[in-house]
Amino acid sequence: MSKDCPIAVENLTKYYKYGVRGILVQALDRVSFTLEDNEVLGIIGANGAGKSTTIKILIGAVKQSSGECKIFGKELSKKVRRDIGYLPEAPYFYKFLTGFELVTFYAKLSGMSTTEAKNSAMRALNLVGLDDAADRAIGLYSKGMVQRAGLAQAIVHNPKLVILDEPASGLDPMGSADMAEIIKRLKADGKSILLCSHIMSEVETLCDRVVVLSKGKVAACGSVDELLTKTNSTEMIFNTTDNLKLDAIEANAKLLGAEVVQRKPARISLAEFFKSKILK
Amino acid sequence: MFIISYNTFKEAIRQRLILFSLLIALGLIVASKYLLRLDLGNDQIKFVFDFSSGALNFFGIIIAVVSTCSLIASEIENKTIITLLSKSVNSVDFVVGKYLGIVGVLGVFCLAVFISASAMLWFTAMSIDGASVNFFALFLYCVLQWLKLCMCVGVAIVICSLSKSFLFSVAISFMCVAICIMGETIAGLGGEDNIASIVAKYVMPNFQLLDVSEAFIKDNITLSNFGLLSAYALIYICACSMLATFFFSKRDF
Repeated sequence: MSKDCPIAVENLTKYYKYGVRGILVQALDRVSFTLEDNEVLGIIGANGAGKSTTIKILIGAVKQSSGECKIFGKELSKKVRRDIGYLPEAPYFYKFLTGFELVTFYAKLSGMSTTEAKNSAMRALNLVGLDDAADRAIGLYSKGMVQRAGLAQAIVHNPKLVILDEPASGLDPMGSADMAEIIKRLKADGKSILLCSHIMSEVETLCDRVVVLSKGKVAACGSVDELLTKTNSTEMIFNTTDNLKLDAIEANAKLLGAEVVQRKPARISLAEFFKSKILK
Repeated sequence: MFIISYNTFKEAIRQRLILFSLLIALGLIVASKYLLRLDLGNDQIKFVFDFSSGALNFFGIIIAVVSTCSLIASEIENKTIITLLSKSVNSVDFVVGKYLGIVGVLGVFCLAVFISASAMLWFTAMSIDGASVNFFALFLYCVLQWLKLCMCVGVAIVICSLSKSFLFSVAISFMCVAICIMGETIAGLGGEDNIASIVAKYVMPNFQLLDVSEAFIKDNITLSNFGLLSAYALIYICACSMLATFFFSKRDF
């Protein structure tokens, strides 16, 4: 663990009090992980696994019961927050503001001057593809547009660390693909990204490492390749549908002592099919 | 802090309740001159003043409590507060920013009432031989009522910092404001050794102290009195802000 890495979480534990009697419910149990520089780290887990609680602790909206949480090697403060961009899950913004006003407002809250904030807001809206709708009130935005506006406010102040909670929620496959492209671009710009998502394909494609949370505990942590590679089998895709050729390949494989576990026609995913139809 | 307060001000003036309350209050003040016939021989200027003062207090308190609770509870219920707190903002910025935004709206409300009440009092005084109106005293009176409304906002913000629901905040805030309005009267109701009476007497602000309408009529609002009452209100406003900031800083969202 490098000393000033973007996120260093150690033995993070959180209890929530419920009801009049203050019954304690444990949401996190000694969670530890790090996010290294210029890395995309995914947090996955079932509902109630503790993903949102972890993120809320990282941005200071929830206080941990015990454990340590450092951002760039420091405790969370107003100054440290300037280096964080956060996209909440299902973001809800002030409906009376236009997209441009909203992003400018959050840019100013991050310590930018008015002129700087306005320029950065336009750039961020352009990046997320909302420049055409910048002068429209948020109340008139679709769910996907609100999500994009949320991403724009998260990156408007050019933070070093971007925390994304379900960034593709509410987006159609095209929107999800655009979001994935933006995340890749952010990584290429040198940013460190913490990505919390239910969409496993998204995490698998975008993340360098993954933390799996289960019932408030870290169930697994490692690089995507490390966690997903099967050590005793190999997948091959043949560019042919000729059954005679495929039978010969299978027979040869058997002769060499390898077992063919599965043979089926290759197919594209529904998302890829949808995208190809929309792009036509 | 000022960015949050400006945003709160913009959000508040778009609320229909505030616009509606302002229009009714102004309508009542303008109508007061024509409702004079309902008055049974009292001083005409006092009648118009009482009408204006009543509109200012009644609608002012509604705006102060409801807009405070809706603006803060909506931030918590819609979770916009989480996005705010992820920026370079702490609980002091949030509470004071919200406070300034709402008291700004109340300032506009009081100014509008002051202007319309001055106009109606001037028209009324014109029609009576030898009658005059002390507009400076009226201004001081409106400032004191604005401070009283700021104290209402303070009480409502403290309640909001502890609650999660808009309706609960509104109900409890109105209850607390009612106790403040009744002042020492309510303190005597439960007996001297009753804890509720002691809290009402020594902890809750006493709005009766700022009710100086009699002094306005008798033309004896002095600057020293005004200074003392303002200081009393400011102490409560600061105390409420500090308390709300403390509760918000300890709270999970």
